[in-house]
Amino acid sequence: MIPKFVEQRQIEEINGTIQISSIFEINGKSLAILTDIENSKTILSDMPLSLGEHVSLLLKEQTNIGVQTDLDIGSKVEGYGVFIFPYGPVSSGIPEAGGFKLITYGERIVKLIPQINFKKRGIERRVIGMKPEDALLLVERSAGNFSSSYSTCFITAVENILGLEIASSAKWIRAVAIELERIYNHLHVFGRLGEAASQNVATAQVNALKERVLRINAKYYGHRYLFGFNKIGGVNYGPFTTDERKGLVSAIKVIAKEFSNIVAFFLSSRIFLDRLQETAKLPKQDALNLGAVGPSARGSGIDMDDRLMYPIEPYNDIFIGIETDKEGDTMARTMVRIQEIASSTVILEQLLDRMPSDNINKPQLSSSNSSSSLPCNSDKDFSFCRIESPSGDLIHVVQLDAITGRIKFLHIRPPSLVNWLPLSKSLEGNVFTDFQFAFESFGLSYADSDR
Amino acid sequence: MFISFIIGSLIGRISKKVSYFFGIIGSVLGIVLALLVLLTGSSLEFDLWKTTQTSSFEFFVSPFNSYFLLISCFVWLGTCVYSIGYDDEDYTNDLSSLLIFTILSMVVTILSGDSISFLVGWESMTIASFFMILKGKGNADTIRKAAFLFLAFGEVSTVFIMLSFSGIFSSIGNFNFLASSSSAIHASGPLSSWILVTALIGFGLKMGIAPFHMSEWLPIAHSNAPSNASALLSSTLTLMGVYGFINVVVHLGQYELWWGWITLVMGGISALLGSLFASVSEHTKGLPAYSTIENNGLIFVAVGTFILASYYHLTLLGDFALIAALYHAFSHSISKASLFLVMGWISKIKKSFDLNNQNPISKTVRQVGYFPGLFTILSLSAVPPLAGFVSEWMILETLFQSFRFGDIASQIIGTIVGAITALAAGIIIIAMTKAYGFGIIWPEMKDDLETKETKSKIERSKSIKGIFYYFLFLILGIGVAAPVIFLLASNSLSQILHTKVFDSLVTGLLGIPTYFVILSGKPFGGFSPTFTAVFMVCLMIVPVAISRLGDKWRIRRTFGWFGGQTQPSATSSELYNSFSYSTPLRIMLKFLFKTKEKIVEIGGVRRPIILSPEEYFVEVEVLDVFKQIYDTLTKYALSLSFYTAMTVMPGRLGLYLIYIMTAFIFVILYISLIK
Repeated sequence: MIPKFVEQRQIEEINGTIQISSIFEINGKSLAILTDIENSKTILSDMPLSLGEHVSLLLKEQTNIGVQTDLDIGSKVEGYGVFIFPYGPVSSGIPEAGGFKLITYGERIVKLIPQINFKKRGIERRVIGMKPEDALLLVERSAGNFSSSYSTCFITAVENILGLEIASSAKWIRAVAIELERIYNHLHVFGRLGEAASQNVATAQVNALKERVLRINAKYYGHRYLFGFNKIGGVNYGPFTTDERKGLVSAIKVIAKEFSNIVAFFLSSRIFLDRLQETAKLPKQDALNLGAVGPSARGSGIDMDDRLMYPIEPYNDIFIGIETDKEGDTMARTMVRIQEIASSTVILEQLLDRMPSDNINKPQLSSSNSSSSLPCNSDKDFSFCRIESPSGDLIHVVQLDAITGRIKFLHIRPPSLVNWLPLSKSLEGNVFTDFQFAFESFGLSYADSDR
Repeated sequence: MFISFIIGSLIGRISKKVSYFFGIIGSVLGIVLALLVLLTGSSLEFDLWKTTQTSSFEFFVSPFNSYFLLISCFVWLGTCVYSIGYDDEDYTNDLSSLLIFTILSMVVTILSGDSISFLVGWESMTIASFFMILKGKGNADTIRKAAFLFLAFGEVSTVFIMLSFSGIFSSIGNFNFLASSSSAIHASGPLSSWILVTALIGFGLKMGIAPFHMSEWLPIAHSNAPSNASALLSSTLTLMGVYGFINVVVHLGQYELWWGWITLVMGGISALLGSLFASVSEHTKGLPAYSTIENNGLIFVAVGTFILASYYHLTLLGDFALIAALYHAFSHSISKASLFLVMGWISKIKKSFDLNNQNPISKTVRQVGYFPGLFTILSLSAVPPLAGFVSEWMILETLFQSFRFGDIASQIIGTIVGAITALAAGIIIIAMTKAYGFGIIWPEMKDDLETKETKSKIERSKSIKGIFYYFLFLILGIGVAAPVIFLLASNSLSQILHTKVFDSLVTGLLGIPTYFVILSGKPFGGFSPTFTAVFMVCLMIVPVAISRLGDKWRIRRTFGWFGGQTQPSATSSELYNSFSYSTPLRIMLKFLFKTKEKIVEIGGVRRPIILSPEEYFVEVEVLDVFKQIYDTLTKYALSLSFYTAMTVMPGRLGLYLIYIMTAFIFVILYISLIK
């Protein structure tokens, strides 16, 4: 039942390029989802014993609502003039409710301790006992910017447990939504970076492009932030007519072309480049050790992308060019995002060009030998799915009650959660004024990590 | 006055208070004497002992030196009163004796009419200060080093002054040039240059002019010298340097172009370095000491302008520059003494000379420094209408007029030094806000820590408060009553000035009555400190009245915003500190400060998503490059003297006696031959 890209075996030692992606406790047993980056494999394993008594931050942060978490275990900084500079949770500069403790002796950041969970809503506990279709409403709204990734990830896991084999065209339409989401998120991040460098005119142009993508979302999916287009067993919008598909492709192509012109202006501005280059450098080894995902990891030269490592349909069927940059600085992360806008445009073109034309909302019960079905344990009561969201690898683990069909367990491992520590590491030794650029380049969202 | 200082210095061993009391009497007498001479314009001379036909040991009180006596006596008066409260069981009785003796030797220096008694005063001043520095608190080894460094610089300075005076002697044939009228030294060519350069180095060493600024900050900062001693060292001891240098310069009469350039450039660099290093200093004494370097640099700049202006026969500009130098000496000495005394008191209570130290001290104790400290730092950061502003304005105005100089090189140098000086005047604001913020008012504690000890401290603080206000009114007075100081300065220079500068530059303008506007040239800028003060007070009346009287517009107070989190407690590690306040400067000006930042990761492992506790150790150092140079020099000098000690000293006693006898015979022969 497990597709070829997921292995189920016991891993004892975490070393080399194996990364812990998530840890969760289900049926009284600790399980870990690991990523073998070198072999592009996802591994489902019992909790590796070598972790020993170390406290996993992933477990640690599962706190109650209203309790903030410092992503740090008792670090100590000594020296003359060292003090803690509290930044946030309500301040300019940080767009959401989240904070930092900057340990500094003035200007230079010695250590950065992210404080999260100010926005904790307890989505994972709240959905327990709900019908999957009701839970979907909560899940896709827990991080508005990544809503189509969230809903697709959740629904795919649920469909897999239920054994629903849905129409290919529905999957392709979901993929289109995810790529649109990626484009507008990357535009958003780029706009924020331009704003941080006070490139106001160019930033306004980038934001205008983002707005155009949002309007395309609204036109094709009924909602600017892609809420509510997904449903269990299919999608609420589509299939698009040939004209609609052509219109979508050409609109996105125009946006990508205009964006590349604006980028050319940005990249000719020394002021902008100076702020980005050599800022917040994250070496490859640190990125691996700390479990960076998404464009942040790719900016440090790690060749990982769920679209290749966990290729659910239609990503197993189309060409995907992964963009990496080995420099690891803010510039590298930005360049990865810029190039991903172009590559997403190519992906969208392929998706819309070759979209299958089966009956979109007629799901069937899958045959047991289907190779494309998703991993399920032998009792078929829980399943997980990974989606490459705009900020990186998103994991949902879902368990349904066998009798009532309601949600019994939900575990979300958002990309922002694992990217805090790489951000913190990369900023060590930088100065305060670099903070904004580093923060924006990681594309982090508190709503995402706090959920 | 002499007698009272002598008694004061002798009686110190028996009773500190009586000793300081005599110091006070002496200072008051000095003020009266100086004012009398300055206002009447008459000179007094006392010949002590005629050595030859032309030379004699003599003391004299002329308007010129009585101006410096006036400044010093104001400072001494304040310091002596302060010392009565400050000098407690922490220090031995010797301190009072040494302090008064230093004052006495300074009086000798100022009032001496001949170079020999000048040097006697100068030497005894250096030696007494050396012993005062030894009274500092802290690591005995560091203090000893600091004191000997001070002594070494003092002796080098004496050597250069002797060289300069010998040059003067060879040109005029007697020692009594100090008492004679200006332009008395008719030296020319290399000899006059010799006199000026040696005087510049000799007195510059005392003033802490770059590259000799080590002599100023290190002894004071490294020894944690008692505050009354630091005030004396930093404001009046350097004033002696100013006095000596201006004295030699005005007596030269004929000037070379490059003297002006050298003086201007050295002054400009000192001002900039002084202000920059003051900004990154974390020591309650080091910071004001560096600021002294900045201010003495400004005085040098004014003297340099005077030399250039005299060279180009711009008499009015030259006179104005000289008055600016004298004015700045006055305002700086008073403000600096005040800063040392206020900060010294707070750090005495805090028991730490570290600005970064946040030892809790009672709010009532801090409050004694609120207003005096504020006015002091405002004056030192040149805020109108206070003392420091008027003099800095005058100095900058003279530099603005560097376009009047005859050739392009002088104009460019004048302009660049003007820019540097203005920059220094801006940067010093960082240092002063830091001194006030972290040295005087912050962090503020509530009075809930009152133990018996702090109660007695509070009582003493209240009693010492008066002397801070004495300085406050002086600072205000020197600023607001600028025309009076201008008059005193021009009176003191009446022998020297070429023009009737007071009559031509202090006038009325635009409805402001005569004698209230100071012009900086004709035609150039003008400014009325008095009416600026009046204007500022008038402007303040309206908001103060509204806030006090108006019911509707009462001040609303609210809590500070801490990013949505609870307010950190006063002892929390989240408090901002003085080190962090100036770290941006350390990082930005890395090339100048040679900042070393060392972040060492001691422990901690980073594994996938799992963190174990990490430990860091942070060390940031700022380096004064000149200190490094001097350290290297010291190292070589030490090894040389060690070598000499090992090779020459263990010689035979007989040989040594023969050497001494021979030398003695040669000296006798030489003297008899000259006769």
